[in-house]
Formats: sequence, structure tokens, C-alpha cells
Amino acid sequence: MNELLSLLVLGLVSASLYAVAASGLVVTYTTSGIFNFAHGAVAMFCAFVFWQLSSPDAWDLPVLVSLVLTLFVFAPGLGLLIDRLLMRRLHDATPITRIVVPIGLLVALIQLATIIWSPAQSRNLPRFFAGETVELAGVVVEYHQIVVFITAIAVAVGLRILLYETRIGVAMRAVVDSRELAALNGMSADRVSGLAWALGCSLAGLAGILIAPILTLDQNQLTLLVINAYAAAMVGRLRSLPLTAVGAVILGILREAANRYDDSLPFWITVDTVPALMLFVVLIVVPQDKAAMFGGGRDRSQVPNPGWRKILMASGFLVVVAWAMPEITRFVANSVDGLTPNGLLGAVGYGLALGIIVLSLVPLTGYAGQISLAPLAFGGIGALVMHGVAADGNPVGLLAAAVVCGLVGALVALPALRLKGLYLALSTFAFALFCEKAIFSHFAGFSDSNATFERIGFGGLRAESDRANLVLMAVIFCLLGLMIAALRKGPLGRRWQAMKDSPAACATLGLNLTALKLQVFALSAAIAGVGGALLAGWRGKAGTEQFALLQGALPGLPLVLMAVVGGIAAVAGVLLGAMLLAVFPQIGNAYPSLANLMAILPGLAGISLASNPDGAIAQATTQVRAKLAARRDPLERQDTAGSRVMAALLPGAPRSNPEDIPVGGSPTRAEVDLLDAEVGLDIGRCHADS
Amino acid sequence: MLVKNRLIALTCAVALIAAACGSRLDEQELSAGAGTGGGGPAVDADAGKGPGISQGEGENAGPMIGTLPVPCGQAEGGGPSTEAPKGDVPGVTADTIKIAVISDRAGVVKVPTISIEESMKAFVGLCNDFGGIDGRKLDLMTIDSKLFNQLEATEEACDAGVFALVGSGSVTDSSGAQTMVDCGLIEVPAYTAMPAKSLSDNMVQPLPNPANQFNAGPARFIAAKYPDAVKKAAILHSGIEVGDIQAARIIEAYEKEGFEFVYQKRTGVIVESYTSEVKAMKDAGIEYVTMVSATSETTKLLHDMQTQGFEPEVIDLGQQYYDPDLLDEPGAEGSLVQTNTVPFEEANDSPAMQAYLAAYEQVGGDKPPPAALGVQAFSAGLLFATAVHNVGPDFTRDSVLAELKNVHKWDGGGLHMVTDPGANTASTCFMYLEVKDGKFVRYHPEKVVSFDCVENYRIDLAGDYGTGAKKTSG
Repeated sequence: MNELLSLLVLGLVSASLYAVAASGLVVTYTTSGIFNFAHGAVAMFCAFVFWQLSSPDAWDLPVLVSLVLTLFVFAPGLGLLIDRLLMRRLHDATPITRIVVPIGLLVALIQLATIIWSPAQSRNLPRFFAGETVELAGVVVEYHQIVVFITAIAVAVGLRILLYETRIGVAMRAVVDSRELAALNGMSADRVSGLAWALGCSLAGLAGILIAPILTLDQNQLTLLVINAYAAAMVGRLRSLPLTAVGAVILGILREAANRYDDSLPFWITVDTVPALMLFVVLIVVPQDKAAMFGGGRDRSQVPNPGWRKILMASGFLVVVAWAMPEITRFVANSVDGLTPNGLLGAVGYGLALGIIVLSLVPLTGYAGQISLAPLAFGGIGALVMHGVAADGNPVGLLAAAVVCGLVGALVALPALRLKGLYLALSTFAFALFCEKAIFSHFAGFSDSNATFERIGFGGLRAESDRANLVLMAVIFCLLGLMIAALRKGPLGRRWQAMKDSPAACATLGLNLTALKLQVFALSAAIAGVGGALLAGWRGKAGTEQFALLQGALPGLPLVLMAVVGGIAAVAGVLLGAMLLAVFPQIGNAYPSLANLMAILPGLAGISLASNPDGAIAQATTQVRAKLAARRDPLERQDTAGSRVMAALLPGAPRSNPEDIPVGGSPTRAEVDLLDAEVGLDIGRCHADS
Repeated sequence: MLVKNRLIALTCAVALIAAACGSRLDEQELSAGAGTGGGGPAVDADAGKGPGISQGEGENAGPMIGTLPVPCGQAEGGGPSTEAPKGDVPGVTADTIKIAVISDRAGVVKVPTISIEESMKAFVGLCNDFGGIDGRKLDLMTIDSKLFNQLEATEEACDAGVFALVGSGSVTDSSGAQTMVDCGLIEVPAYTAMPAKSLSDNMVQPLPNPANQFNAGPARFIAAKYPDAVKKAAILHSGIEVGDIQAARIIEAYEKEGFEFVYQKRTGVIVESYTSEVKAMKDAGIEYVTMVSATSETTKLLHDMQTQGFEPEVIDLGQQYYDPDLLDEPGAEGSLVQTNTVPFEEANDSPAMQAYLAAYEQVGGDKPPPAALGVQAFSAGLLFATAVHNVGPDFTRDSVLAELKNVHKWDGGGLHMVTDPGANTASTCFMYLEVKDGKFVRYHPEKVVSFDCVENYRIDLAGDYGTGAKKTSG
């Protein structure tokens, strides 16, 4: 009995931390409709600001003044800034953009905090009422922990009253439900949304200041703790604060139990994996929030559909460039101080392998609209399979990686089939976290990133040299790209896009959504698996650090972010994104004054998606075309050599191919007829009958 | 669009300002000996006047760093070297020896390796002030292994054609171990973490830490002093591979010395609270606690132990906890902390430590405070230079490696305990500090700048803790 009581007390102490962290997450979502992946990073940043203001080693202001300045000036100001610059643009953005922009903010804030407050110096925030304690059920509890507990309750009650009993609270919720309707009723949607973000950031700051003294004040720990709290927030469906508190208690007790009884639990249930497991289970069990499916907004993303000639030319070009890459990198490295030929070549090869991994997102997210944050985790599984089956580089290992990852992908997709939008993204997030903490770290050698891989080949036929390996990867990338293009142009691709456009309509038309989702998930995971195996082969050594979600060499979240920046629906776009991610550090090496900028650039690029939701390639193409069009205008005749070169290089204006079903837009009659023929139904008659 | 550009510009400005603040000595300054001499060519007379550097006794004796003859100086006959070594020796010209140091610099967490690079700059500055090694200036290439990029960092050093890796230390050092061997490099690291590196070919380190041996001195000392406590011992370690291996080695070695670990716990990597573990240890009547984890995690454990009123007879912490951060935690009071290097608190009694600190002080830029691994890097530099100097001007990687393997007694002139680098065997010396009134004070042995050394402290381990990187050809 005593043991149970102490477990309960310890669980509640942890729960109060999660409750404080999760309540801010819920408020931001309830009042803005955006799941703020950066909530933990905002909390961390505010904790550092509080340290800067209050610490005797810094500005040494009185604690109360520092508290007021942090929670009522800096944090709301940051919230208003985030709303004004980013979130206000997202209310009708594509689902992936609404997820990736806050991830960009997370990455940028962590890097910015690292630049401002060097981790080389240790910093501590003192606990409130340090040294004061009380004993409960045999456990000594500090006053600070009680302060956190009381704050958690006060925040929950206060927010409940604010959101449901006050005019501004109702207005905040109204703006999320329907911005237009709220505006019609005389509310300033922008003002309300700004207030919501100011409040959300203040709550994040409060969480940071309360939790940082318990953890260590560094850029990682606080961010990660808030990520653990996602599971608690999802119990309340990101809406209900009382249920969120319940979720926090469950999470606290489960973690405590996993810690206490770890000897009798399977290896994959540990104090580190419980949050990911709970998040996954909760997402599947709890009914989805309608807004989280992003069903209301139109998906304006463009799905390019270049012709075969262009695709084949681009493929040939890529292979030739890969073949010549050793010379290209040698030339560049010899021209720029701070670069070495092999270092640059290594980064390019790494980027190409990452490109294959994120190629998996083109059919999955670009075409079928299914969001995944776990491509690198599948890459890790692929590498693990390769290591187990063919660490000697036998190509059979690639096949095994594809098959196993395809099966795992389908298996993961199965319980997640009914999930959409944010819920689906979070379930893949949970899966990637689970892989990192339970799977990759379980296998000796792989866990410390020292698993050895040979280059692909067998007998005397082996892509041993860097050039051969690059060409091999380029060929595999092109073959996979061609396969994806063929699928895009074929019936399956049209079905995927129809599913992205309107799952309900597809189901009505008799399409088997379950099969479609399983197919695309399995295909995507298989591609990522092959990419992971190739990455390991290219590097020679690989393991957890190469396939982690948040921390590692080039982690999974920034990778997805850069793929979206490049253009998630275009084969060339994801390759560009992956390549940039791999090459940024090289630019930092070449120009040390830009090293900090290069570290923060992926985050900034993600943030920039708020205004360029289609990614870099689409945006560049659109802008250059617009400029050329303007110059063609008789009023602005400014024909230049540059514009002529750009016009020659850029693809022409999109033709109205039957495959070009606008995603999220109204289909034309021709497109309806095409889909009609595909599924064997007379949609026109259906409409008429209804 | 305009708003976005403003945001990016603002953020870039912050980033660039931060970058400017962090500027350090460049390669040219280093090879010119800016570290201690202000940039001009080294002059023996001036070079011998630094703190901790004395003139050796005897007619032909040169300057000494502590008890070690300074291995750096002009070419025979005075002045810089004008002849390249016979044969093709990578990284060596008539007047320079190119070496590289790899360490973790960047990242979003504090790493114990942070002062390594500056310590190597300090060594190179000092050595070049004396004229380099036999008149050949050291040209130091610094590479950041960024926590996860030790492989790429080693490849970079290999591609750059450096003669050797000197003073390196990365938190995850296994991934580049084989590359170092395959590249034909030789290495004198500051420290090694994983078996792949600690048992590697082509490597000699000033303070060996082979995975298949252990220094049982501390265990015997504690067992003799607290015979009852060691029968109720507890060990906690973080749930990562390096933690698993180190904890397993400690358990095997200490159980041979009579310890009984009645409580063993693999914890999460980052934990909010260790109250549960503390309660379990308290209930089990634990009297001896040790932990293998980051300092930040161990301070949390000590805090929770104090909060819960759990006061075991012995809190035994490894040498990685000789870290000022530990002193900020009141719960650390009374803890015993091992250290391999002479404590900074005893610098006044250690000429070698004075020389190190003076050289470190001369390194420009915004540098971290000196730390124990930095001292080890400085010692690695001295060991390397001594071997090169002993071989003579016509050295090769093989001859220097062979000379390094001949060094069986080494203390860096008094920077740390005596070791046997050539045999790569575990040390037979130890010392304990105690945290007292928020300071590190000597606990055992009592005499300042001394270590407790007995030959049979070294024991072999039977467990399979991994193997080192081996030459695959030739």
C-alpha cells in the first residue's frame, strides 16, 4: 500500500510538470488551431531570458522584476511576433505547412538559443523556496514541486474560465472555428489570434521557468520534456484542459511505474519510451479533433507533372553529375578555403542518400496527402536490416531493407489508417521517437553508431569507389523517381491524389481507402528503407545518430522540414532540400562567419514556408515566371540576357493534362470524367440522383 | 515577403554578432607561435622564462616543464630546420609538422571535451615558442567532431595529409577509429571513450584506458576504509551503450575487490527526478553509491538524495565529475571524486600545471575555463613531441609510433599520475578529492601533488567489452 502511495505521489509530482507544459500546448491549439511543435523551444527560450535577467552572473535584476519582464513583456511579445510573422498566414495553409512551420520555429529557436547562450557555460535557475520540504506518503516533496503542482491546477482552472466564461475566450475559440464568421460578427480575427499566441507563449514561459530549475537549464532538456508532454495534451484532444490534466497524471504514473518495474518489462518499455508509446496509443484511441484533420481548408499545393522527356533528361543529368562529382567537389574545394574535396564529396553523397530517404515523402505526402515525420526512422530500420542481412554490401540487403520496411510501414499505418492531418503526423512522430529510443539503441554497435557497412556489391562487382557509389545512388534515385513519376501518371497516382483531395468523396465513389493508404505507406517506407541502407553504405559506419528524430548528425525533423522547403510534391524538390541540409555545414566550414547562420538556416527556411507553402522550387519558378511575364508586358519592356537564359532553362507553363487534378480545388468536367472512368462510376449521374 | 526578409535579417545579425565574438587564433598565428610569444620567431632565452618552466640541472641540460625536459627547440646547430626528412613523410616539410586535433566543439549541450582544442593551441604555441620540434614548427589543424561527426572529422584529417592526430577527444569516438587506422595515421589522443578507440592500433595515449583492464586502486582503498559500506553498494548508469559498458566494467572490477552491488539501475538518459531511485536505495539500506552519467544528471541524483534525507556512507564519483558544476550542488557535499590529473587547486605546487595554465592563458579569444581533459590534451602534445624529438629529424610515422610504444613511464612532467602509455595498460595510481564547503579538497593521499600508486592495482577483466580498430592490411 505504501509503495503504491509513494508511486502515486511521485507520479503526481512528474504529472504536474507535464500538466504545466501541456496546458500551454492546449491553449495555443484551442485558440489558434495550430499545434505548436515549438512550444517546448519557446519555454526553453523564455527560461534562458529569465536567467539572463535574474542571474547574478548576468543582469542580476530582482526575481520578481525578471519574472514580470519575462512573462508579461518578453513572452507575449514573442507570441505577437510569431503570430504576426508566421501563424496568421497559416490558417488556410496546406496541412504539411501547418505542421512544418512550427517545426522550423523549434529548430530555429534551439539554434538561436545556442548561439546567444553558449552551452560551454553552465547555467542554473534556483528553485523557488529552495530547501523547504514536506513529507507525503514517505516521499519528501519540495515546495518548488508543490508550486508547480498548484500552478498546474491554477492554470487549468484559470484557462477554463478564460476560454469558456469570458468574451475574449469565446472570441478566441470562435476565430479558430471560423475566422470568417467571427469577423462577420465584428471580431478582429488578427487581434484575437495575436492575443492567443501572446497567452500561449506566456504559458510556455511559465512552464520553462518552473521546470528549468528541476532539469538542467540547457537547450535540449526542456524542449524534450515538453515533447514528452504531447501525450498528455492528446488525451484532452488538444481541447480539454481537465482531460489534459488526467493525461498528465497517467503519463506521470506510467513513467514512474516503467522506471520502478523495468526489470520485469520488455526492453522496449522503458521510462524513455513510455511517452512515445502513450502518444501513439492515445492518438489511435481518442477520437480526432475535426480541426486537426485540416479538413476545412483547401490544399493549394501544386503537384508538378513534368513530361517523360524532361524526366529522362533530368535523370541522365543527375547520373552524369554524380559521375563527375569527384572532380566538381575537388574544383570547388580547391577554390574555396576551408573546404576539403573529400569532405565536400562526403556531404554531397550524404545528401543524395538523404534525398532517397525523403523521396519516400513524394508519393506519401506530396501525392496522397498523408503526413509522415518518420522517413528517417524508416531509413534507420532499413540500415538495421542491411546490417543484419548483408553488412558485406550484398544488394540482397537492399531488397530485404525494402521488404521489411514496407511491411513495418504497413504495420504502422494499419492502426493509423483512420488518422489524418496532425493526428497522423503525431503518430509518425511517436513512431520515430520509439525507433530512436527503443529499437536503434537496443542493438550493440548500432546504438553507438559504430555498425560497419560495406559499399554495395558482391564478388568483384562492387561500387567501392566514391564515384561508383555516387553513380549507383544516383541511378537508384532516378529509378525510384521514374517509378514514382509512372505511378503519378497512372491510375494509382490519380487515386492517391483523389484521396488527398477528398477521402470522403473517394469512399463514396467506391475507392478502397484502406488499401490505398496501406499501399502508399508501404511503398514510402520501402523507399526510405533503401535510402537508409544506402546512406549507411556510403558512410561506412552508421547507427542511432544518423537516424535520430531530434538529436543527431542531421536529424529527422529538420530533414522533413527541408524536404518541404524544397517542395514535397516534386522529386527534384526533396532532393534539393536534402542536399541543402547536408551541404549547409560545409558552407559554415568554408566561411566560419556564416557557421551560425548555416546552423539556424534550416529552421529559418522552415519558417519561410509560412509565405511560400509550395516550397523553394515552386516559389522560384513562379517568381521568375512572373518577372519574365512582367518584362514581356509592353509597358515594361526590359528584356535582358539573364531573363532569356532563365526562360530557356525553366519548364514551360503547366499544360492542362488529365493527370493535373488540382489538389483541393474544384475539378474540371474533364477531370471528373477521367476519375469517373477510373472508378467505373458515372459521377454525373450520382450528382443528378442525389 | 518583406516581413519575412526583415525577420531573417534580424536573426542573421544576431548570428553574425555571436560568431564574431567567438573568434580565435587562426592557423597562421598558431604556426607562428602566437600562443606564448606574441607572434615572433621563438628565442630560446625568452621561451625558457615562462611560469613553471625552469632550467635543467647539468651542463648540457635544457629547459624543463615540471620534471620533463622540454621536447621542443631549434634544429641541431640552432635556428629553424632547413631539411625535409628523408623519404616521403606525410604532413612534414623542412620546417613544419602538420598535426590535427579533433574534439567536440559545437552542439546544444555542454561537453567535457570543450577545452581540448584550446589546450592543444596552448601546447603548439608553447612548443613553437621554443622553435618547434627540432626546428620544425607545429602547424595545428583544428577539427570539430560536432558530437556525432567523428568519422567525418577523421576523414578530413586523413585527407588533409596531417602527420598525426594529437590531443584529440570526442564523446563518441568509436566511429572514426577504423578510419584513423586505415588511413595510416598515428594518434596520441587526450583520452579515449569507447573500446574501438581505446584498444586501437596506431594509438598511444598518455593516460591509457583499455577496456580489458581496470585500475582497482580506488576500489581497494574504499573497501579497506569502508568495509561494511561496500557490501551494500549501488550503481546507477545512464541507458546508453557507453554507460552500459563502463558500468559493467566497474561492477566486474569492484566485485573482485569485495563489493556487493545490491542495487543496480539503468536510468533514462535525461530524468526529471531520481526520487524513485533514491527511495529504493534508502529502503535497501545502501551505504555506497556511484554513478556513470553526465554531471548534470549526477547533480540531480545528489540533489534528490539530499532532499530525501538519504546519506550513504560513501558517494564515489569518477574522474569525469572533477567539474566545477558539481560544486554548485549542495547535495554533493562529502562526495569523493577521483581525478587523474593534478588538481587545479594544487597548481601552486606543480610547475607543470603552472606551465599549462600559463600557456592556456595566452590562447586568445573567448575560451572556456581549463579542464582536466584539456590537461590530458597538453600531456598528449608533450608525449608526441618527446617521441618525435627522440627519434630525431629523420622520423616517420612508424618510427614515431615505435618510439611512443617505448615510453613506459609518463606523467607529462608532473601534470598527472604516472602511466605506461607504450604498453597501453590501465594506470596503477589514483587519488581522491572530497567536496568540502563547496570546494574540492585533497582526500587521499594526503601529500599534495601526489598519487597513491601500487603496481598490482591493475587487474585484467574477463568480460567482453569490445575490441579496438585493427590494421586490415600491410
